Amino acid sequence: MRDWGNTMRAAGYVVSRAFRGMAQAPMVQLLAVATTAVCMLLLGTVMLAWTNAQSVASAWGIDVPVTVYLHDDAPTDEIEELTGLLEAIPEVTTVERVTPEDAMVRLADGLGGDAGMLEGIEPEVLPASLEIHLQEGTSSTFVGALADKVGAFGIVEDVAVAGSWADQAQAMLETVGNMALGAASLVGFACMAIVWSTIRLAVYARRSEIQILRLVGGSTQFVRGPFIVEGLMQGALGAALALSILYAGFDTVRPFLEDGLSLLFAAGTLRFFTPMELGLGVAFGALVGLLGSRAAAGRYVVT
Amino acid sequence: MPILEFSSVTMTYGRGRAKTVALSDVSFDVPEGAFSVLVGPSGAGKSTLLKLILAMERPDEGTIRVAERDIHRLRKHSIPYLRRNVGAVFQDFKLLPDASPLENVALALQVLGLPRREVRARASRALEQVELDPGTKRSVSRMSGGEQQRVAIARALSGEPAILLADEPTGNLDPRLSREILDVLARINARGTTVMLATHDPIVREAGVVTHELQLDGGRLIGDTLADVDAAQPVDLEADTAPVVADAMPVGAVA
Repeated sequence: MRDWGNTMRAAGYVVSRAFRGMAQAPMVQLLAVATTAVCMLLLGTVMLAWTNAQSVASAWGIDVPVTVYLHDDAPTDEIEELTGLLEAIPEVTTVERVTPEDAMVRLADGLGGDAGMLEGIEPEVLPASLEIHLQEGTSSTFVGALADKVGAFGIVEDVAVAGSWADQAQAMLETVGNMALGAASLVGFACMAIVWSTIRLAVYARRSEIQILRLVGGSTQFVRGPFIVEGLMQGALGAALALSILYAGFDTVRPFLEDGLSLLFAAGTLRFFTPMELGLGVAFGALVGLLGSRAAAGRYVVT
Repeated sequence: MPILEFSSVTMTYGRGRAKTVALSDVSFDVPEGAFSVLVGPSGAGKSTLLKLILAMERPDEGTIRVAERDIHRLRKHSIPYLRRNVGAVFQDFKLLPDASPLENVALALQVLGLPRREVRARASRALEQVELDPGTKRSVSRMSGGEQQRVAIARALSGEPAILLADEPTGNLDPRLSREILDVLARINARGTTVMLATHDPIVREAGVVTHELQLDGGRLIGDTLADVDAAQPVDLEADTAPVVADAMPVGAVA
């Protein structure tokens, strides 16, 4: 049976050896973390642009192809009947009912600091609506036909269909998304290469120690462990540094963007990554570091 | 009961024209508690044989059993456990030059995941066994060859192995230091640890500590001479005693 106490102590040794290894060559580590941070900064910038483009698109409603505005006195049962009919159409993915209250909350969110302007205005001035989301690739002919049919219902006041500008904006958004994915792959490989070469140097510098550890019965995990932890730390630190720099940059640029391009960026639309997204970013850096160090140590540090 | 058994072991390096036979059809047993010595000229296959015992190489044919376990049937992840039971000492010491003797010995115990206090206690005990001060902060690179080899022996001993292998442990040492190291190995053997030493240093054969001699030449075992293991007692290496093996009965000679 495995002795967990011994395993934990061996793991403790692996981690402390990794930190000592990093301290033994601080300049190499600094360089590796800084280079990783530069790559991650590039990725972070693209990801942040994409996140905000999505958020702008959402605020402008270009992600909703068909919006059905309802009469104020539309009976609930008829609204539900129309919703059911729409949901039964295979091309329709979701139908979201937006009450005047929901619409008011959205408007207030969009205005951000200027939401006070809405004080005293009753939500009822805004129409209730149904937002129809369609499957990707649905033809504009179908969308037009759908709008005509829905418009014929008595409870419907008006139907708005996102035009070609929205399609273009959506296409642009997808392009930015693909760019973000491409950048993630490239940056991932670049960071892996940086960590790989740093760990290779460390493996070479500590080859005598590796040989000794093998001779005295160090398991593969025990011998490789410090290098893996070292790579993981490099990746995580690089990502954390990149995100810190990105935050500082974002915080500086944000007021200028919001003032200068107020039409595009309604106050409050621009946002930085959420804590969860930040955590994922650091985890991505750690994963890239782990893969790079695993590749570097795996081939040369074997039992 | 033999602690080490070689059965028809053949080992080659390279392929085709570059193929070199390092060991050819080698069979022998080493009894538990023996002070076994492997002798032969350079290139005879002594180091290869030790590497096979440490599972650093795999034989082409034959079986090798350590404490009744066929080591080449071990899975890869079990090899470190074998090495924890087989201590190894080398001519070039294989120590961390900037670390102290205690740190060098402790490394072998950290591998086992022992508590820090136990690591320190066992490493100190191992250093005391080879008559070194565990408290010294000197790095091993500032020690003499004999002291460095003692550190290497202490490290090999610290895990309380069943067998201690030594590949030319006196190869880098002058005759006086060689005798000191042999004295240390003889005392370790007297406590019950099987010692297997590869050497072409005549001092070893003259020292009178050897109970089992294996002669290799060109990868073939040409002599296997065993003395009574009980005869392996700590000896005064300065005294002019006749080698134990000289009085032994040959148990097998392989042409």
